[in-house]
Amino acid sequence: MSNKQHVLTTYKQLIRALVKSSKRAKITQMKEDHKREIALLTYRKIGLVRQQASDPTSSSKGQNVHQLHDLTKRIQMLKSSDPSQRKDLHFYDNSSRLRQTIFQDLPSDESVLSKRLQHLSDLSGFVKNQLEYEQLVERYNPGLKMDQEEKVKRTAARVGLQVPDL
Amino acid sequence: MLRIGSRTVVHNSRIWNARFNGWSASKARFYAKNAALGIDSTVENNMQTETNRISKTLKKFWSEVATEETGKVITLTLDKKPVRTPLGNNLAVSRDRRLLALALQHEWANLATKSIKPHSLPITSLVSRCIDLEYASRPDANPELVAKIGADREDISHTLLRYLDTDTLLCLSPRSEFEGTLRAAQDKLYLPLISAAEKFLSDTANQHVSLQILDADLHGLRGNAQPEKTKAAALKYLRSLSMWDLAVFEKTVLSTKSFLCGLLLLQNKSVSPSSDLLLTMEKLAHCATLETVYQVERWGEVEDTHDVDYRDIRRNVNAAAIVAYKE
Repeated sequence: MSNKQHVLTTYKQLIRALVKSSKRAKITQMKEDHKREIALLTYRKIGLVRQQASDPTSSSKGQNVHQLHDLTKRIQMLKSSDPSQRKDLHFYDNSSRLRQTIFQDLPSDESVLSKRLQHLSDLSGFVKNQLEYEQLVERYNPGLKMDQEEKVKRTAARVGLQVPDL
Repeated sequence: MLRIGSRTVVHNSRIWNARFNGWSASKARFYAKNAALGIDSTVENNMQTETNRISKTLKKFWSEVATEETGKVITLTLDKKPVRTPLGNNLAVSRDRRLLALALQHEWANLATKSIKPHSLPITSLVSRCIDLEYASRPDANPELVAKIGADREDISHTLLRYLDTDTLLCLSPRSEFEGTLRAAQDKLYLPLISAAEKFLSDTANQHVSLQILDADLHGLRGNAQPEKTKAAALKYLRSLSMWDLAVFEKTVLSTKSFLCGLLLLQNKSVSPSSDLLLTMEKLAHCATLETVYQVERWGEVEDTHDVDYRDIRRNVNAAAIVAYKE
């Protein structure tokens, strides 16, 4: 019985480490996706506005207004949503497979079991340390995460210039 | 990325070359430049590979990371296409390393930044090295390829053997330092491991061998060298390893600067570990960095160096342990 409990605690530890490490990546990925989608919607909105301006007597005016309204609403929604609040960040996607891999044919032999437990804690140790390592590297090298635009802006600012807003 | 004092193992930059079926099939194959011991000096390159593609365009070009079981192996796939190693082999692990496959998938599904840095995929890079070494060690392998990835078994073994002379676990500090506390800790942690390793090597060589310890109180400042008999035993041990295990061994020795740590790690992950060599990976990393622990205690922690190194060695040792493990 104590063996089973031991496996369970190790498993929980592993899940916690996995969730923590994927949370950060997921948030970044979602933020980037949002940014891209907002740009796309804005582009479509501008297109619609232009079309309306060039052809004010169009028969589909009512429809256009409706579409415009819809786009604005979607952009607003994306802008106000915060990916870090999402509930699915608290779960690990692959947990059923992980559970199956770990709990299927649990070895009865004491030494084999302890080896597997060691393996599980190695895995959570790796995930944890890799996350911490990446965070440290990022903290000490802020330039790594900057995109090209930001780098150009800062480089210009160093010599007292400003990049024009386009 | 250049940082003083941090152990950014360039080995990982092999991942720049991990390639991807389909996109690269029509193009000529590019190979990583050679350097001894799995250290790849290509920090940045223009190879038309998929990891390079993502790091340069900053666009994630797949939507789904999955693993696929076919026959005896589990292959990592991006949008159903297998990821490739620098030599163009599929990034695949055998069925008895299920959790390793899961770890690979986790690594690819959770890229924090789209600019892939050499340090961001340690497991992928180690597994790639394992697969490519196995591939290059086949009798019909192209000798040019073997030279290119530094896959010559004897070369690797002899270079790794040099770490045994000045092994971290074999260099003992003078008793005058840190009021003798460091030496006391070394005696307590290292000596049992050294005698266990001696016994293990003696069993391997079928004759008694001893490890030469560099004791600062007795020998002062000088180099250390192992007796020929010990070297022969260590070489015999290295020859007995599978190519996969040798790659793991190499990774461990390079991260810990200790031949004995490599031996301990593999023995702990072997089918029947002998009881006097048992220790956890955390303890192993602690042994390899014992002196730093005391230096930090006395002089304080240097930012961007001690903290980064602390995590770095642990992630590397744990990664090696995960790759070595087999059901």
